[in-house]
Amino acid sequence: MIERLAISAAYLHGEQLINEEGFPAYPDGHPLQ
Amino acid sequence: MATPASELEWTLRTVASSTRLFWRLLGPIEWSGLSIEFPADAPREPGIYLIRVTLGDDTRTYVGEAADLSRRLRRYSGRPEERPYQRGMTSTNMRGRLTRTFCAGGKAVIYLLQLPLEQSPGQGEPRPRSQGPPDNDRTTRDLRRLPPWRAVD
Repeated sequence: MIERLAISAAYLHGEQLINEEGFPAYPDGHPLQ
Repeated sequence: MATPASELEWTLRTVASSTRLFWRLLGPIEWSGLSIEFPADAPREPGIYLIRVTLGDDTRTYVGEAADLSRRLRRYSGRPEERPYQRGMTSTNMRGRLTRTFCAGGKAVIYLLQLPLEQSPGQGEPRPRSQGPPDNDRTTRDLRRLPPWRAVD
């Protein structure tokens, strides 16, 4: 529950999330993906 | 790259209450050229962590939860070799991502969330956000299941 809250807060504050489920997939080969 | 903030403070507000999330910088994640090393002073207790990887002006954030923070970070540490049975595991993905970032000249830091969270009664209608979230349909769909939090700058 707190993890979901923290993920929500990160999203709402404009963080570019790389959590595996439900978040954007960046292009293959991108160093940060 | 700019020096990472020593702390992050975010507030989420609903009509009924507001919650403050305070992240404390645990330290940089180091790359020896062969292996990944996390700060050694993570507590042996449950917690929430935030890893920020930066390459130039590009930053990505990972938020995770662990029953034992120290053990989780030890699992993320070490050489990046991937064994077949580890493929697809979060720890393998994280080691691979960190290795690619370091080899490309990037950096990474880790923050821990201060618990318990600070909650206080709401103050009426939430203020509008000054900065919207990134435009992403999959993210929006995923967050639809969550409570109607609002960010407060």
